[in-house]
Amino acid sequence: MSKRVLDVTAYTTFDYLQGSAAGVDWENEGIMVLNVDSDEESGVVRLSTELDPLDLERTEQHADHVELFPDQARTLASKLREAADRADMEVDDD
Amino acid sequence: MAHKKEDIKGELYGDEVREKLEEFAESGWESIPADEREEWFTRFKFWGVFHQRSGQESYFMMRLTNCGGVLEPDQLRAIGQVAREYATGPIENPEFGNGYIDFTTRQSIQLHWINLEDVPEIWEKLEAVGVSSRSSGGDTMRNISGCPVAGKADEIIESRPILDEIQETIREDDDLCNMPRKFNISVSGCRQGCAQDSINDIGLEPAWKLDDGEKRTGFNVRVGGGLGGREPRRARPLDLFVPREKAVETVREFVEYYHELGNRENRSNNRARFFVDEHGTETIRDDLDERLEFEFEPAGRDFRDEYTYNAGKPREEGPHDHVGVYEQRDGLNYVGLSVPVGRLTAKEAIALADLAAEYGSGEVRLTRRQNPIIMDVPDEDIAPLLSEPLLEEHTPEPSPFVRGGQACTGTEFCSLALTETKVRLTQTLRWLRNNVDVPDDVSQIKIHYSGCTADCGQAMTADIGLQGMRARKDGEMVEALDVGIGGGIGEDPSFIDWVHQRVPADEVPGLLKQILEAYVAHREGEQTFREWVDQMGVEAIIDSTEPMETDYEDPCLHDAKQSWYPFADDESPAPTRPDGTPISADD
Repeated sequence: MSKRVLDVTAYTTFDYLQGSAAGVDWENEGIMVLNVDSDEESGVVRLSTELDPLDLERTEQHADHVELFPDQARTLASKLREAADRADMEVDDD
Repeated sequence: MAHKKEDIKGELYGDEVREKLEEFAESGWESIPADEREEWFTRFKFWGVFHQRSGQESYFMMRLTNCGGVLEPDQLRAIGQVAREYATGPIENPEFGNGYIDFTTRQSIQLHWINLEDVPEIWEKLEAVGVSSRSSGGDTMRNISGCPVAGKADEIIESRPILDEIQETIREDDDLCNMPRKFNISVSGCRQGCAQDSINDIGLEPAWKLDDGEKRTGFNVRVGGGLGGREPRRARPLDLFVPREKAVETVREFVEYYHELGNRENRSNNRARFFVDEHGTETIRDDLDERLEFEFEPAGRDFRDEYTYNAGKPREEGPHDHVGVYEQRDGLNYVGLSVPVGRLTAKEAIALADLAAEYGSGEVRLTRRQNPIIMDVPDEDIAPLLSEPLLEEHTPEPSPFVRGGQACTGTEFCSLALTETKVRLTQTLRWLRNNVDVPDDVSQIKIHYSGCTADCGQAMTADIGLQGMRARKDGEMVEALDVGIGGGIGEDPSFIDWVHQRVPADEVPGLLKQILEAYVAHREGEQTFREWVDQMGVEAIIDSTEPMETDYEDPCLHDAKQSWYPFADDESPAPTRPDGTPISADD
C-alpha cells in the first residue's frame, strides 16, 4: 500500500520540498508535500505534511497535521517571515 | 455553519441559472462584475458551462449530457458542427489543431474555448436535436452511467427503461438540483459490468433470487464508491435486493436521503462515499427501509464473478471494453472505435456521424473508456465501414496501448491539474506502439493518466496508472508522473500501487517499456497484465525497473511553471471578445 494521503493538485501549497522524518537514531530524508488550508467546520488553520510514500523506509505511509487557531497561524506566519529574512541575510553574508 | 457555496447555491441554482447566464451572454463577458465571477461560475456549472483556467479568462468549457452514453441520430453531427464553429481558441493544440471534442469517462462530451456570448446560440443548435448541457456539472446528479449498448446487447436485466426513468424523474427534478456535492448514479444490466457500479455513489448491479425454484432477477444495491486519489472507495453493498419495478424509487430515496442529510458544511469530505463511511451501511439500509414502503430483501446472488470490463481477465472470458465488432441481439452489429485519449477533431466527429447514418441507424453511443460506438450495422456493411478512412485512423483493431489509453483534461484547460495529459499520453502511446513488442494475444494494457490526485482520468483503476506530479531534474522543476500498476474493476476492484514516483515525464516511456518487457518475458502462458502483477508482487517490479531517458521527446517537460497554455510561448490574449480580439487592446 503506497497511496498518497494528501491531495496533490495545482492548489497544493508546496508540491515539492525537501524534508525528513527523524527518530532517535535514524533519519529518513525524502520529497515532501506541504499544504495549508482552513478547516471549514472548526474554524482552524490546518498545516499538513507528507513524505512521498516510496521514500519511506522507517515509517508507515502517513501525513501529519497541525491545527492552528487563526492567531496562532498569524504568529507562525510572522515567525516564518522573520526566519526567512534572517535566512536571506545569511545568504547575502555568504 | 454552511459552506459559502451553499449560500451561493441557496440564492440561485438549478434551472433558474439559465436565464441569468443568457443575460450575461447577451451583454458580454465584461458584464459579469469581477467580484461576482466566482459565484456566477459556480452556478454556471449546473448548466455545464465551466470557466477555463487562469490565463484563459473569458473562455469556457461546455460539458454536454445524455443518459447512459446514447446519442440519437443527428446529435453527434450537431455537436461536431458546433465544435467546428464555436470550440476554437486563440491557439492550436499541437496534435489536434483547433475545434475538437473530448469524450469523457462518464459517457459525455466536452467542448473547449467556448465564448460566453455564443452559449445561447450553441444551446439553440444542440437543443434542436435534443442535446442538453443541464446538470452536467456542479453539485448535482451527473451523467447517469449505464452499459452503452444496453437494449442492443444481451442483458441479464433490461436496464435502458430504468436509466431513462431515473433520468426523467430524478435527475431532471429541479427540486433535487442542489445536492451537497456532485452525485453519480449507475445501473448495470449486462454481464460485463461496464457501467462500473463499484465506483459510483449509488450503483445497481444485476442479481437473482430463487423463489420456489423460479429464478427472479433484480438488482443488488451498492453505495459510496468513488475514485479520487485521497481515499478512493469501492461502493459498499447494502445487502439489499430490489426487484426491477422498485429500482427507480430505491435510487430516488437514496438521492433524497443524501440530499437531506449530506454534509453541507465541509466540502473536503462530503462526497457520498464519506457519507457512507460516517453513517455505515447498516444504518443507511435501516433508514432506507423505514423510508420505503416495500419490504426489504437481503442481497441476491450477483454476477460479479462474470464481470470482464476492465477486469484484467483473459479475453476468452469476455470483452474488456467495447472496441471491435460485436453482434447485437437483433442480428445487427455495433462497431466500437478506439479514439486515443478520447479526443476527436470536429471534422472527424462529423465524419463519424455521417458514417453512423450511412452504415447504421445513425445512433452513436459513448463508453466509459472515452470511445464511441457506431450502432446497428448490418453484416454486409461491416467490411465497407471498416475500410473507411476514419476507421483506419481510429481502428476497431488498435494496438493494445492505443486501445487502453485514457486521460483527463490536464493543464491544457483544468486549473486543478499539475501536468499536461492528452498530448503527452498520445505521444507516449505512439512511442510504445513503435518501441515495445507484445505477443498477439495481449489485447489489453490499460494506461490511464490523471493530471493530479483528483484522478478524473481514473488512474487508480488502470493496469498502469499515471498521475501528474512535479520533480526536479538537472536543477529545474519539470512535469513528472507517479507511476503505479495493478488496478482494475471487475468482481474485485483493486487500486494501483505506486512503483516509481515523481518520474520526470521524459523518462516515463523508458520506464513503461521496462515494465512491459518484464511482463512479456515473465508472464505465465497468456496471463493478463493484472494477473501478472498479482502474481509477481509490486516489490519485485519496483526493484527490477527504473526511469530512463530514451529517444521519446516530451511535448512540454518544462511547463511545470504552468504558462497560460502548455504549448504556448507567447503571452495570453485572454480575455477576448468572441471574434478573438483581446479585450484589453481597446481599453
